[in-house]
Amino acid sequence: MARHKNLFIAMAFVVFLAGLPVMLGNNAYLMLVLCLSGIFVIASSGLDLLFGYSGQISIGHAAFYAVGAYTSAILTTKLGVSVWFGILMGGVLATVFAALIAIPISKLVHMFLALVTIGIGELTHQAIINLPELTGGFTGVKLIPMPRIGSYVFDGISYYYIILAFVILSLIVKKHIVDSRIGRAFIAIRESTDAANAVGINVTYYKTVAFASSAMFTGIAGALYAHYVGFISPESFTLDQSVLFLTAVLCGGMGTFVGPIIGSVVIIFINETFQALGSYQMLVYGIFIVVAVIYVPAGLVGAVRMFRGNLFKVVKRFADKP
Amino acid sequence: MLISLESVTMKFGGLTAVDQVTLQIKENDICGLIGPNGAGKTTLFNVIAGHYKPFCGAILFQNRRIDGLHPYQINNYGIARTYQNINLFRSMTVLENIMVGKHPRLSAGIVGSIFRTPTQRREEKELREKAMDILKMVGLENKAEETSKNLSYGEQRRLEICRGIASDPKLLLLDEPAAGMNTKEKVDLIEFIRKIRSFGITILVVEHDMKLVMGLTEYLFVLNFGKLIAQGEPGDIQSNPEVIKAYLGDDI
Repeated sequence: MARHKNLFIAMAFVVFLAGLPVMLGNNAYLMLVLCLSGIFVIASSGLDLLFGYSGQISIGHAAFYAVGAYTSAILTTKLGVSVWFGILMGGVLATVFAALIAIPISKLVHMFLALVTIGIGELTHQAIINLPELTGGFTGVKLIPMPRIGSYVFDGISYYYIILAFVILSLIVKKHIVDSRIGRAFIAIRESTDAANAVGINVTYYKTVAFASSAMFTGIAGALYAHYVGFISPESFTLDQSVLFLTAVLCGGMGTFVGPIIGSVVIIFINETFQALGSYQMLVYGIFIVVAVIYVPAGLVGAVRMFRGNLFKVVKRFADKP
Repeated sequence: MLISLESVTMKFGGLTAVDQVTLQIKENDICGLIGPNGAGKTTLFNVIAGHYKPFCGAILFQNRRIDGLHPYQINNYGIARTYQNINLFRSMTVLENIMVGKHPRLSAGIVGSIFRTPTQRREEKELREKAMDILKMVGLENKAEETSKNLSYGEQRRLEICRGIASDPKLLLLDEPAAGMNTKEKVDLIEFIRKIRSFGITILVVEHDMKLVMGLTEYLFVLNFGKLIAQGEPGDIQSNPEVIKAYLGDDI
């Protein structure tokens, strides 16, 4: 019963999102914010699989975002392959990259893992800068094409629908992973690595799977981003970007379905609103993380649940009064 | 023999926690492992379950060497365990804990899970039913959807045993299963352990409650300072001078 109700809410929400461009009267700026939010939802939902569900932190997810973006951008501009294939390869390469990294670092925990993932993010950033023949160095990759079917080019509003389709698809995949044997293994590792090992879960393998599947989402998001903005350069793939993904997951609610969605939208809107602050923006995010970790460790989703729980308690107390 | 340990030794720096222990456990027995505090009982458990790699010696389980393997591999061979301090997946529901316990007996892979293939769906459905059956055995079926950390202490202990048997092990290691239980719960526990044995599962239990040990087990191993000082049927162990000395000390 609850399942049908949730499915209904989700469907209603999708219909609402599909109708949004019409309601907003094709406001170009708001569409931009929405598209970026969608891309962010995919990336942070991916990070949530790793961070929220399997309990492994990554402060270097910009690396996988970059691999996805550059793979697709380079393949489509230099080799002229179809954008659809480019996006797919972006996801695949990010997955492979993450798996290769995960195997040696899967034994690390807590701050050691945090430090190594920061390092990986930085390394990727430096690699992009220092391989100008491939990546264009500081100047980046320009004139990245939009996807097309036949002669129809998906630009502007129609690209919004492409992103929406990818968001829906990734969220379904995320839900399927979480509700399966794989997802249970992730959560078991988060709850007690020792006990997970003792009940027959190959911890190293599943940590690698968590890294790889997480990077698949973020890589695809990176590719979608590259084709959306049409131009990418190293400065889009810095530590700041990794921190933003993490902030979105933390502030929305880690290890939940809707948490990263809400978190992403909130972060993108704050990002746009505080544009005037320039480099002080990171200060705002810093404060956000601190407040989130101390006061609402379960994020906005957790805060709502807590509030609802308390509300029920208050109502019950009144109801119980003779 | 289901499992045999051959001069298994475990050292931590200069301390020998398990010293040249050689023992065999027969199939379908309920065996007890007793000894004063610090005798090395839990360490021996950890060695068998693969949490520690023995310093020297061999462990043969169904005639296969298992010492030095990872815990998850040992679980796949058919050895499950519980912990002295309950080690549940606390934020999971009661049912999910059992479902995780069945992990090694499932076959769905990443692709099957992502696409939710008919095979994967059928497996999940059967899994739910089987997990429910296990919960019914210990009367936890009404709490299936409860978060496991909200269970009472005794219920958590029972749930952990259920998670252990979910993977259909051949040997179940119980580390102080009765700790913190009241008399009624202990009586139920004995009955439950006997029931588990009737499924063809061999049991090795570490326990401090002597009344429970004497009433439950058919064969006993006694450890002291890491050494196996006695073994035999409970009645014989009770009158064994070595054991009495270990527990009560020498004559003055």
